[in-house]
Amino acid sequence: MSAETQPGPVSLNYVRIDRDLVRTLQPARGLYYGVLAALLAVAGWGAYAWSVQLRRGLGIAGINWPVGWACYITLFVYWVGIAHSGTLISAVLFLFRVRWRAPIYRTAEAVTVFAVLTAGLFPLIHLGRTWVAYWLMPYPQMGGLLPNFRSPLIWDVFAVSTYLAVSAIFFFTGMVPDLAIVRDRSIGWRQKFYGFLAQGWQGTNRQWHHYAAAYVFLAGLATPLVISVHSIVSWDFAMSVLPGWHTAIFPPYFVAGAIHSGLAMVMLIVIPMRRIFRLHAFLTAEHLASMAKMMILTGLLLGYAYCVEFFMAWYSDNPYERDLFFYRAFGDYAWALWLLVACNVLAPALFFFRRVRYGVPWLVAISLFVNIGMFYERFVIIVTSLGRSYDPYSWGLYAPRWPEISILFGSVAWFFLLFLLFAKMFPVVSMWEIKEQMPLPKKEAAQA
Amino acid sequence: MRRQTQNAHGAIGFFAAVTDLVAAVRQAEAEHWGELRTISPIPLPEVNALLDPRPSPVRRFTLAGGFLGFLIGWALTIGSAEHYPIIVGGKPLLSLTPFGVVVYVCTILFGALFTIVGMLLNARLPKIQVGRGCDPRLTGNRFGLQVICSPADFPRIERMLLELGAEEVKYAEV
Repeated sequence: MSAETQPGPVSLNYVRIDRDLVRTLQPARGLYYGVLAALLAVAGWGAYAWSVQLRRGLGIAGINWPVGWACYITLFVYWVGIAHSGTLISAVLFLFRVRWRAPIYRTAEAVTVFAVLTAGLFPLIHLGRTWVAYWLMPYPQMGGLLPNFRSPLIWDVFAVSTYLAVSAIFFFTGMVPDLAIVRDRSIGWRQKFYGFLAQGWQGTNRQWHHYAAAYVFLAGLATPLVISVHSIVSWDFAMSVLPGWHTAIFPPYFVAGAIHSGLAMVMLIVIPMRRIFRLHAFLTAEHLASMAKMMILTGLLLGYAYCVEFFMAWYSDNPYERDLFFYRAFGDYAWALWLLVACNVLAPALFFFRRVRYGVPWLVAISLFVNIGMFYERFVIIVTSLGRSYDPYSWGLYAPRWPEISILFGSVAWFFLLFLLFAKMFPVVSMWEIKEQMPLPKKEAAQA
Repeated sequence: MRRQTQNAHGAIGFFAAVTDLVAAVRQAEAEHWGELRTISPIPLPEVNALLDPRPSPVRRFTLAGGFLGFLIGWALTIGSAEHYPIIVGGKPLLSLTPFGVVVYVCTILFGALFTIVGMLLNARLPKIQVGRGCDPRLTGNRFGLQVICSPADFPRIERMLLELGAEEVKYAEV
């Protein structure tokens, strides 16, 4: 174990918390703008690919009959999944009073909001005729046409929109006392900007009283969303009578996978952020190891789900299910299946070893593998079931073309671009909650 | 809820230790110094227990929002089906089980929206003008106790706050 990753005593006090975290908002250096420009260029290329697809039609993408849902819906499910760890860490762990959540939850919530914003692009991209996306919303129109609320796709629209709204509210509410801290330590336009966002927060007993109550209720309302949003996303598939999709295991299986990938993404963001902003006193090796332990659990749950899927296909004695799962394991996309098993189940199992949990390079590498694996998990579910349904006449293969690949990388760049902007404009660690977790100040210590 | 005047003038004592602040609040309450408010960088449940022991009414907003969302969810789904009556996928026109998913989501959405409205209304936020006594130390590492009083009463309150352990007392608006 390297000295850098050793868990050790942390000497924090209120002044140091304010100083170290407000310092992260100081004007950036050249490298920051260089990375920002690179991300902007990649995101811009993705936007260009989308614009070409809008002009020339979906035909330029690899999507075709029978695989009508492919890369875009894979990415939609992937990004919604990424969003889940934020709510888990911020709301669920808050309700359970888990102490290691405090320095991580702000980043995790930002991941949630930005991942849902990214996910929301994909149904629009996949729609082809994006300009009629508003048809999904219930609104009075001349034709009397209204959404079909019996369709899981409409449930999805409501679930993901609600998730975005509740996550954004929870995210911003949690930040208000910190914005007041930044306001009080800024001058000029920054003071006006943070003062506007802080909404006149002063920290009076009255404000804290109602704030604390609202925070608990928001956490309580966000908690069921952790379970329900990805369950509803899974019903996009499970409600269809298609081999490999029509199974009751999908909701818990999808939720476990979502939290798994989300934790991995939070890890991938927190580790470089800790190094760049020198936040080792706040984000200790113990915090990272705690997330790694959670990934052991979610990885095991996923491994169990993968096994149960295959077992049910065999035990059901349904020839279509059996054939589909045989195809997944040994067919055209078998490489993707075995890759995802290695990335999602075997790699996180290495976290059983303490040395791996406390080794930063291990944490980064395994989190990266999990993110790749979770993308391929959704890819395999979608592409193999659509490409190998009941009738051999309708079998087919799918390979992405340049628009899908460009939009894939564009979406990754867009997500990190949002995060990079956030990290320089807002405190990445909750100052007031770190203070709250510390022993209450004694007179002598405060004077010292 | 005890009434708290917005942006009122008064004596603000700055405390380094929470124990001193709590003791000061307790004594000020017992001796009826006047309207009190604390300003602190963290929530202090023991101070709230003294100054405002009743639970926050935000919970009623959450309940009302959730209930309204529940009703809106049913109205939206049943109303849409009635307005555009077409059988799809062999499911009955009024398929209550699938509609329940939308109702559940609407309940949470409106519950959250009303919670935030409840918090803003009760905490009297957003505040256009932050009081001039909003000292950066009070969002940093000091705990303030404000006693609303007139300038004539300030010397007396100042002396009492200093006796109770305040490091400094000033007359300001919060």
